[in-house]
Amino acid sequence: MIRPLRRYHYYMWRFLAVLLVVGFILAILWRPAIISSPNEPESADLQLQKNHTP
Amino acid sequence: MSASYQSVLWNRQKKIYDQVLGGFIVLYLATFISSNLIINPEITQETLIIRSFGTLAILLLHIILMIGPLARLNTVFLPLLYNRRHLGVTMFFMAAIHGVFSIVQFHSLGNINPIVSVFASNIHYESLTKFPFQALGFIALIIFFLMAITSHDFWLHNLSPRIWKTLHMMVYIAYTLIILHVLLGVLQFETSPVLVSMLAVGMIVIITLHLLASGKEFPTDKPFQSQVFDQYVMVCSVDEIKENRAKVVCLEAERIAIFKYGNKVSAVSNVCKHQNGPLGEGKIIDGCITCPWHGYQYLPHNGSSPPPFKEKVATYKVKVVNREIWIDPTPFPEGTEVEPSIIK
Repeated sequence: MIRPLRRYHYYMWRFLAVLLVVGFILAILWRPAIISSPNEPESADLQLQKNHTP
Repeated sequence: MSASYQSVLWNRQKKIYDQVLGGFIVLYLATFISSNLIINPEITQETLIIRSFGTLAILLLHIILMIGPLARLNTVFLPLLYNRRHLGVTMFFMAAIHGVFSIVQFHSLGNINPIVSVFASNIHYESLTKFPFQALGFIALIIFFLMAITSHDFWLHNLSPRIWKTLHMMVYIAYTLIILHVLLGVLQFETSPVLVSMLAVGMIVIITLHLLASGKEFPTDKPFQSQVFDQYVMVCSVDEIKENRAKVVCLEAERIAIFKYGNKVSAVSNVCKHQNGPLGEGKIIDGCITCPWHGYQYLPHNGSSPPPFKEKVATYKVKVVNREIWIDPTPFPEGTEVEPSIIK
């Protein structure tokens, strides 16, 4: 690698080390208390279906 | 190394590499699909395809990102680097299958364009738990696509190694997007700790390897402090360099590789013209400096690839005085003939 790319590589991974680890911890800590699949319909969606049913 | 473009320059190593890769993919998919069918017999075919190819792509991405630093840390891993681009293109296809099936499954039944739907159907961009994580995966897939279509040497030569390398270093951005895609997506409703643990371990390994490799590389770029006489810098004793090997020093803008072969010493730029590989970590084979990454070769006395090849690197003036190697750090134009210095 040429010098500017080595430098980019050096600083990029120091930045990513912080970003990814902090992001990972936050994503785990801030997970919703009640875990539900995004594929499951929410109550609002069901309400919408009822209203449009002839 | 080829003087003309071919779709794939097959050789025995590449065939073995690809056979191992193909076998691994088949084994992984068979294991993943069969175990999921046993654990959850009601799972749909579409979900199985999305999950199996998605996890396979992430696994391959981690392997790809480990190869670079492993090869920097230990030359034992260099054979893995040799055909890494096939691994990269394969990973893109696995990710593309995951992406296409996801878009068809979740975005093709509405009244707007499925691609637009990826970005517009969920607009909770302010929320962590409801974040439209599929958009992150889609952007990463675009980066992988650009990398896959430019992976051939045709693009490397036409874009120039510097631009090509910069483009392909976008893989780090894509990796970040993929980690966020998983963290803000499946991990928000995944109750099993297995996936979370595997992702955490993979991420920590990747980060650690890259920090170790860059920590090893970076000090070499510090200015080399030594005696200077009449523009020449004293680099080392000839006894410090093994036969047909090199010492690498950074005297000015870029690293220089000083090779000892027979009773001669020559110096060339350390940067290979192919993919900027470290020539100084290669060795002289059949009279040519051979790049450790992909085997590109250069004659030590003029920095030119032997005919019919056309690659050239810069050369430097060297002299040996009392078994000490002195080098003029001003480079000659690429391919300039420089008489090797004789060790007396």
